[in-house]
Amino acid sequence: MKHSAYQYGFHDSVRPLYRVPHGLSEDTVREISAQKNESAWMRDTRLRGYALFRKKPIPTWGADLSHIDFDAISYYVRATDKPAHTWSEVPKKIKTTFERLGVPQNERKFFAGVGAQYDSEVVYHHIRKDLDKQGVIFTDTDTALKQYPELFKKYFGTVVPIGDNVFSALNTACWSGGSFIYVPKGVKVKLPLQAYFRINEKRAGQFERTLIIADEGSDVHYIEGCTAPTYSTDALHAAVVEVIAHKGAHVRYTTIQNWSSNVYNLVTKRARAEEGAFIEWVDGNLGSKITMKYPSVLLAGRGARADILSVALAGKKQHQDTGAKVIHMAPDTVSNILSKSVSFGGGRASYRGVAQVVKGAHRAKIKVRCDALLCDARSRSDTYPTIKVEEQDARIEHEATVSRISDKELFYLASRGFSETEAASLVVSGFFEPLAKTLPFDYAIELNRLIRMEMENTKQK
Amino acid sequence: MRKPVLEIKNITVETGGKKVIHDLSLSIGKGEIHALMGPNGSGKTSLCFAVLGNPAYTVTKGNILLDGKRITALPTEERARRGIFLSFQEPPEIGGVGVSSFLRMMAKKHAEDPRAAMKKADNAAKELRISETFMERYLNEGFSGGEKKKSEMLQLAAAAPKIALIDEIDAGVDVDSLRAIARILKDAAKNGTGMLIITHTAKLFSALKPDRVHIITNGTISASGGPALIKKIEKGGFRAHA
Repeated sequence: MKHSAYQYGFHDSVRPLYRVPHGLSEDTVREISAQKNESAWMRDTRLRGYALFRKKPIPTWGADLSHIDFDAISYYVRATDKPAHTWSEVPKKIKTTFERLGVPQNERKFFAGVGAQYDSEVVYHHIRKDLDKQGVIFTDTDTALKQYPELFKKYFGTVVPIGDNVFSALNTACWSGGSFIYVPKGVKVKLPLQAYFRINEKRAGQFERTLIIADEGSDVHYIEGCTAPTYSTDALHAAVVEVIAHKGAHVRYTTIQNWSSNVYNLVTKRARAEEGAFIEWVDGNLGSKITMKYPSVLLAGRGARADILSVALAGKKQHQDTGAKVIHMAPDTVSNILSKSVSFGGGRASYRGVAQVVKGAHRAKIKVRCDALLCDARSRSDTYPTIKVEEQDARIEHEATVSRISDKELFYLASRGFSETEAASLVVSGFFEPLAKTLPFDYAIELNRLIRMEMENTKQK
Repeated sequence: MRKPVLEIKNITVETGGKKVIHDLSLSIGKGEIHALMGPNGSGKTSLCFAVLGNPAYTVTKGNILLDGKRITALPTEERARRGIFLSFQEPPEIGGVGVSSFLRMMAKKHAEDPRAAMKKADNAAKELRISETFMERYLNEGFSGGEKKKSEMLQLAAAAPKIALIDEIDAGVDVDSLRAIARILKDAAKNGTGMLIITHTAKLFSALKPDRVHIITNGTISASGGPALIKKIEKGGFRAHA
C-alpha cells in the first residue's frame, strides 16, 4: 500500500448520482441551473458570470496559474439528492468520510450548527433548535435561494460583484453549495457555526458560495475546514465568500484550509462593515498546491473595525500567495493586519496586501505587520504591500520581519531531546500561536498536529 | 568509588579551527555534586557544549561515555534522551511556546511518570516563587537573566536527568533565588542526578556543598580536590592553580 503522509488523502468509492461532462460551456451552465430547478433570475446571473469568465484574463501578477486545465475539470458533481438533517440520513460511505474527519463528533462537542459539503452539494445541515427559534438561518446556499429568495437577492453579489475577477465570475457561473447565514438583530450566537468542505471526485471543481448577513448588533463566529484526496491530477477550488456586517454587528470568519497538494485554491473573500461593525478574518492556509486568497474588508461605516490574521505554511512544491485588503471608506475606521508565514522544504510564501484610505475617510488607522519565518535556504518569502492614501490625517504603520530558525535554537531544543524536525515544528507552532489562540481548543491541538505532520512529511522526501 | 555515570576521557575539542579543550578527563557518579571553577574563557561552556554534542564543537581526541557506553558520536537529542541535561548560561527565546506547555513536553519526553515529573517542576516553581503568569509566558522571551535561570531549573526538575551540567546558574540571580536554586539542585542530587556545577564565583557553594571541586584553566583541569579547594581559590585566585 502506498503510504501517504497527508492524512486526509484517502478517497471513497462513492459513485456520483449526477455529473456534468468535463469542461465548461454556456450549455453546462444552463444544465447546472436546470439540475437545481432554479429561477430565471439565477440562471441569467450564472450566464452573466460565464460571459465574464470567458472575457477576463487569468491573473499573471501572482502565483503561476498557467497549468490549470479548465477543460479537464468537472464543474458539477452531485453525490446525494438533498441535504440531510441528521447524520443517519447521510449515505453511509459519505457519513464514514466525515466521521474520519471528525465532523459529527465535533458537532456534538462545540458547535451550534454544522454543514458538510461533499463535492458540489451540501449533504448535511443542522442547526440547534434554540437558534432556529431565535430566527437564525444557517443552511446551504442552494436551499437559501429557494426558501429565502428576497433576502438572497438583496445581498447576493453585493460585496463581491460578478465580474470582480475571473474566479468570482467562474464561481457565479457554476456555484453550488456553500453556507448561508442570517443572524437577526441583536442575536448573539455563542458557539461557532461550522462548515466542512470535502472534494472527493477526481479532477473536480468545488465552487461553493457563502453568504453571511449579520443584522444590527448581532454576533456570530463561522468556522470552516476543508480537505481532499491526493490525486495526481489537479482539482480546483474557487469559492466566493461575502459577509455583510450591519451597524454594530460582529462577525468572525475562521478558515483552516488543509487541501491536498493537488488543489488550486483560488478564493475571493470580502466583507462589508457598516457603522461600528467589527469584522475578523482568521485565515489559516496549510494545504493546497497554490493558494491565492486575500480576505478583504470594506470599512463602509463610521468607526468600523477590521482584524485580519492571515497565516500560511508553504512546504515542498507549494506556493501560498496570501494576504489581506482593507479599504477605508468612512471616518474613524480602524484596521489591523497580521500576516505570518512559514516557508520550508523549498516552499514559497508571499504576502500581498492592499491598505487603502479613500477621500473623506478621515482619521483612518491602519496597522500592518508581516512576519516571515524561513526554515531553510531553499525556501522563499516575499512581501508585496500596496498602500494608497487620499487623506492626510490617516495613520499607517507597516512593519515586516524575516527570521530564520537559528542554530542556537536548534541546539537548545536538541539538548532537550527534540530532533531537528521536532524542533522546527515546535518553533513553527510557536510562530503560529496567534492563530492557535483564536481557535477552539481542539482545533488548536489539531493545528499543531497538522504542522508537525507537514514538516515531518517534508523531511521524509 | 562507585561506577561513574559520566566519564570524560582525555578529550580534545575544537571549534572554529581553535582548540578549546585539551586532554581533559572528568568522571561523575550517581548523585555526586562536582564543582567546575575557572576564569572566563577557560573552556567551561565549551566543555558543556562538547558533552552535549553541539555540532559546532568537534571532539578530535578522547571519548565521552554515559553508563559505560560511548556517546561521542551521538547527536545531541540522543544524548539528551539518554539522560544528559544542560542548564544554559544564555538560553535562546522560543516564541509562542509557553513555559508550562514546554515543561509538559519535557516531562513527556524524559520521565517515565510525566505526572510525577510535572509535580516536581511545580514544586520547583513554588520554591522559586514563580507566578502563574510567568508559567504562561513564552519560553525565555523577554526574560531577565534571573528568570531565564529559573526556567532552566524548572526544566531540570521536569527532566530528572542522570547527569546535569549547570552553566553559570549564579549569574544575574538574587540571593533568595540562589538559595532556592541550591535547594532544587540538592534535591536533584538526592534523587540520583550527578551534577557538574560550573561557575567562576563561589557564591552558590555556601548553600550547596560539592563533593569534588575541579579547577579548569586553558581548557584542561589543572587541579582537583575536596571543598577546601574553594577556600584556596577565594583567597589566591585561579592563577595559583594554573
